[in-house]
Amino acid sequence: MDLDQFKTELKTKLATDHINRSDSDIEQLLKKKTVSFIDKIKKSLWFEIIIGFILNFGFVYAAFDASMHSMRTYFGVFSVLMYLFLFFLIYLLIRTNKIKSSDQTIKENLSAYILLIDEFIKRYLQLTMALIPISIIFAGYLGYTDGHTDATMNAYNSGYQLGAKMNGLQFTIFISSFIIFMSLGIYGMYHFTKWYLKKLYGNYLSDLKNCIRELEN
Amino acid sequence: MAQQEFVSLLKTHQNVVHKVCNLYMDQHKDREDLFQEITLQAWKAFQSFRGDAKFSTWLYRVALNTAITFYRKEKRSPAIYTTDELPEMGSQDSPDPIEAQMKAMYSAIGDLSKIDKAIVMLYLEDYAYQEIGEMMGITANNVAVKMNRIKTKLKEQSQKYMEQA
Repeated sequence: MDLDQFKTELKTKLATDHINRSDSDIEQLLKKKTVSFIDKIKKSLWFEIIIGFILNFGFVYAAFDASMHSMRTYFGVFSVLMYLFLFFLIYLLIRTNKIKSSDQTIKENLSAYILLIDEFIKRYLQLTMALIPISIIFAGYLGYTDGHTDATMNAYNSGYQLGAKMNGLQFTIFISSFIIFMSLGIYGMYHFTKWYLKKLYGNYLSDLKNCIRELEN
Repeated sequence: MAQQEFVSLLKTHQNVVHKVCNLYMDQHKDREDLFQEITLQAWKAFQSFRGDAKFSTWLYRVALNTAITFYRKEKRSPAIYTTDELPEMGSQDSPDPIEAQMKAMYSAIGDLSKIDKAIVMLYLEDYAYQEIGEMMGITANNVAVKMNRIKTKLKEQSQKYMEQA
């Protein structure tokens, strides 16, 4: 049997299996919220921008108000980084708004979706990963240079005494274990973030990529 | 005013949206969601509709774009057209061979990919390969090649459904 044999019947079947909507039904629909993927990303971006601004307000406050020099530097640097992140989020939001119209060709529409989601995932991963070593190195460095409170001094002293009691081999094992532990942490964090992003956007993105591939074949 | 004009045009051409929903979604709830999404996307894009093309052609483009990129939050069973879901097409025990072939063809179309479904949809609407190409963003030759492949696929697949029945 051939598709052309059933052309008219199929067309009729597809067109008749529904209840007709009235003017007021359609007007009601226009008041509802869209559930498109782009709108999901837009909502997520808005949420992150708002949270980012609130956090940054706290960071700037801490950068000026904290009593310890290390804390002021730490929060000052992070508020700058957070501003960069916010600029990036706003840039993505502007790009997302540009592709809201779905009356372009199917290939163009798919390409626009793929480009946007790809960039969103890539930059999100890059920024998240960049923050981890910056936080660790920075926290370690500042803690070392600004450990003036009684508690931190005691901790340093006990650490120092412990270090002094160690022989070369023990110290090497201690440092190696520390590096391995940190590396595993970063590695785990990297894969967790990748997995999480794939879970959120990965399957949808590969669906869209398959569609484009199919169009091009 | 624009909203009234849009509502009136959509009401007149709602068959286009229903056809796309019926082709892409097998469950009533999903069809309703897709209908709503297409309506909203069409309304958003309506400002860019200048009347160069027919409203129905423009609406097909918006509807197919929305259906292809439609995101379902809740996972339901895969979109397979089972013959049980087509009550208007006659009873299961119907001896009519034409009707059985129709059901098989309908099920075979349900198995197609999203892109192939879009091409079949436009082909059923008697759009020329050139017009289908313009909507899809590919050449008319490419559409012709794809259409041949789809027809072969549908023939084989519907045959399988017939044998199973």
